[in-house]
Amino acid sequence: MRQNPDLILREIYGKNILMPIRFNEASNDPIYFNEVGALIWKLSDKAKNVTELLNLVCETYNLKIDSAEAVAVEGFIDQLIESKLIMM
Amino acid sequence: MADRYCMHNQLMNDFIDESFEGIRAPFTAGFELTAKCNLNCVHCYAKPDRVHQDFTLEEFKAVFDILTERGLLDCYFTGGEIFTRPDFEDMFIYAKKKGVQISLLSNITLLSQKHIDLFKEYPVEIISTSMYGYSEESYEKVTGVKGSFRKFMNGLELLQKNDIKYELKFVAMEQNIDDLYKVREFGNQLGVPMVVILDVHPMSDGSMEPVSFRLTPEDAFEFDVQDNGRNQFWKDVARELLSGEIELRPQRTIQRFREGYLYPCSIANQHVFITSDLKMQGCVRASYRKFDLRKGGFDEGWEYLQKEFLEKKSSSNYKCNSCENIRFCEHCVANFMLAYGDEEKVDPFFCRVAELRRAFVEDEIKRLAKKE
Repeated sequence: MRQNPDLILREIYGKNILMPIRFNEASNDPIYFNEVGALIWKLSDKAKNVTELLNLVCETYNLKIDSAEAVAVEGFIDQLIESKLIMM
Repeated sequence: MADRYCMHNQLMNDFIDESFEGIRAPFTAGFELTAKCNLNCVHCYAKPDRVHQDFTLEEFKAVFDILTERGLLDCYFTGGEIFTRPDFEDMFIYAKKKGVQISLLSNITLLSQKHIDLFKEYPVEIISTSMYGYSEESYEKVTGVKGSFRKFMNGLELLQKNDIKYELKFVAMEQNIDDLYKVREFGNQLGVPMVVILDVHPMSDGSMEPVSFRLTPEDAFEFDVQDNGRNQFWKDVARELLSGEIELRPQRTIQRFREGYLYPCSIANQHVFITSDLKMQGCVRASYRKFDLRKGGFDEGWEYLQKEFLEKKSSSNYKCNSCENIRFCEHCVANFMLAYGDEEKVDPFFCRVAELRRAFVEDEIKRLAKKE
């Protein structure tokens, strides 16, 4: 897995903003991430697949893998992949 | 204040206002890449700066790095003419890779396919360009360069054909006033945003020559009522004042004046301007007090600007402090300083335009109130 290299995460005074660099299919406008979104983005370069990424996020927040929160996180990861912000 | 100089980046400005209220950091910046230009416009405020030793690419990168570390999200490149710099592409790409939104101010007479290809790969937020006249004659009366109108129109065609976002500006002066409505209509037909500048500024060294070309306050106000967009803008202000959505004096202005400060705007607060010879200013117009980044570090300069602008208090006689027309006024302390050498000496042009606008808005409020 990897972050879409055409965007870069800016962390400014506690706010996380994904800024486009090159023209790309995912987003050519800035995207505001909350803390969880930013973490998923940052960890996506370290994970081989969705399961691994989910595990990394759950570890960070002490979530059980079968919890409702984990399901929501997985859904969000899928959205990021579908929108090509994260790439397999 | 009455209107914005450029209409671009409203969303980013709103985001910065909402997310970083009360935080003093350079979230936005302007960079004068060079003061050199291929045109010779009669009203140009940057002419005195053409002798500058322009910053190098390495100097630019060093300053840009610091600004992005401090929170820079949105900036514009201006000149002179930015495309006269042979390393423009290097600077642009470097800035884009840092994750900063970039707008460009350019006369587009040097715009070429290589720039278009660059912007297709690294999108520009918007290109802001001035159409100095509707015809070759009126355009070149302002620019002083034969053939510049044709080059400008070629540049416009390149932008239009390649879907590059741009806005048209019109700097209204004696030399081109007859073209104001034609250019406005031209912009409407192209479907592009347009900004009309009604108050030509003094030069960066204080020379008032450009101001001698300025419209009368009555002519400037005439545009406000004749132009559909401007007319509607003031009618919206009337509606918002009537409903209480906005107050007669903008919040930040009220607060700053109540606390006795001279500068009510965002000068040196969330904005910084870097000149082509690497001086740091509170904004593009405040060239009378600047910090030399070739002699000191950014933080030292940022602190200097805080003392010189943010913390500067007005005298008890300062006319604008108690003025009820401030919402209708494009007054600028920096312009007063450039023009008169006195930050508190108000240019009566702005007072008169504000009076006329306020009267228009009050009439509209009465009309709306009667309707209700």
